[in-house]
Amino acid sequence: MTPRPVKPLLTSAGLLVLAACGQEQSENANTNLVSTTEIATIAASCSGCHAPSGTAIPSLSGRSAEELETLMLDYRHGDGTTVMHLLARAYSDDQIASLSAYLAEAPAP
Amino acid sequence: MTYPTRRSLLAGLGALAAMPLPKAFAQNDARIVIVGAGFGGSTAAKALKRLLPNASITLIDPSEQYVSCPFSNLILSGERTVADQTFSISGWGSEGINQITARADTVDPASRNVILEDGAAVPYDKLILAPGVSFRWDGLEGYTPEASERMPHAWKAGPQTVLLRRQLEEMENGGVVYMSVPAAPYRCPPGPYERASLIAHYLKTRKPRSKLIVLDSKTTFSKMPLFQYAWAELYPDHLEWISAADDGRVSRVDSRTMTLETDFDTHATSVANVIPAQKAATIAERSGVADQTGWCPIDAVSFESTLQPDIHVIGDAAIAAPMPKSAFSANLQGKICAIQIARIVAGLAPQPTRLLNTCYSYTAPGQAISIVGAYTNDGGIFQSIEGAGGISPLDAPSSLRAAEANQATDWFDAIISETFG
Repeated sequence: MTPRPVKPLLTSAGLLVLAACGQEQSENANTNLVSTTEIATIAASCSGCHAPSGTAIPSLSGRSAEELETLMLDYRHGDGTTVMHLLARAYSDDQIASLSAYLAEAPAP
Repeated sequence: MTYPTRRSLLAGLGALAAMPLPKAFAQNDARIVIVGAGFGGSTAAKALKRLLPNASITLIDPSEQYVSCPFSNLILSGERTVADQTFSISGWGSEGINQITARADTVDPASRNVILEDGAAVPYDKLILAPGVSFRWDGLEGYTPEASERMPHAWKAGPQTVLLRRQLEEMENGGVVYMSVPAAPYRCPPGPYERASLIAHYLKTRKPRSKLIVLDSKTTFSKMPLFQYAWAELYPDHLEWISAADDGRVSRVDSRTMTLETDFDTHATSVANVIPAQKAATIAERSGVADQTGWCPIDAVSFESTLQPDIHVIGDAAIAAPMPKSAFSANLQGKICAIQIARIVAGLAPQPTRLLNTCYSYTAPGQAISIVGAYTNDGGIFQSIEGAGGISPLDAPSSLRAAEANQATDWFDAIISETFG
């Protein structure tokens, strides 16, 4: 894969995404895993509702990190009352950026 | 509706699909046993197989099928059948998960063995208990397993749900339906009120001279403003809710005379849906992981019991408040507990995170409302995240309720596919 430019705050998550794509684990794998565990456990909520077959709850497959981040930040900072508005407020902008990068790298089921 | 046939374990576990697998995970050969193949246990077993491919993962459940409580209230209004609610929980052997179809009786924490009903011992290094709930048969005078054949609880989906539906169908137009709601905590906090809505819908459309009266042991409930708004709008003549503050708490039942007694009144019923008080399933008490409340205290980061080492408890049996006892919670806890156990057996400390709950409830067929909760678990304690979460808007057009009903259907398909697919 061709690495995309990664914002500084994405660095650790980005490294682990590379590892997930078959690159050699770095010596710092355990250090990196700290942040990846946090993002993986945060991302664990998403698949409780979002499936590839979804329509009213759209699929997350095949979306770029930029698209996911923009959508989530709009929910996070918007004044709407949908389920996504209510839940996006649980996360920091940094967490949303890392989560978006993580989800964008998930292989299609 | 069709669900995907069983696919690779990777599929459906979207949350874990991008999780890197460090060598410490890949080479680990720990013996991990999961008791209970519901939303929590099945999800945890599949997630662990993905995270620890060389570990021995064993899933124990007495049944080969799981009947989903979520959406089972739609059986009562005639929208769904019990077959629509039934999913296979066998056949994961080809995916490398050892399955034992037997009842797990108890656990010997000292020797780290699960003891099956036939006395066989299943050794573990790490155990996940996801056993669900038991009813407190000693909690309501007159309400016994035999009484529940005349006054169904229908709080574990299956024959009891079918029985309650048949009683509603057979009841004469003009009959009075009662529901008794227990004190919290119990499985699915808004479940009784979704059920009340759907029974009221059935009465309004099919038995218009009938009425549902809900006798509640509580004074407030989940999504209360939304339900009460919907009831005033949709069922003013068919649903009455009586709070514990107004003598709503049922203290005795008589299944022979079909009466429910409160402190000051006796109610004659045509159909009585008695939802009993609950506690963690029996194995939790026998294994020493339940406390005096009947539920299982845990560390909120690792889900490990605070009473017995190496036993993790997820789903309805665990004390995870303010996370509710819901399918979404159990499924999410299954994924997160699997990640934390993979870390622990690989010599890494479990990591705090942020968790969600999402829950849709029908107020009528095709009309739904929702609630969202968000939680931290730092320091081993669940806490709601201030400023996040909430409920659907109160005064909303039916188009919004219809949109949330469509989301509910997608939610159900997604969680069923991830858990049982």
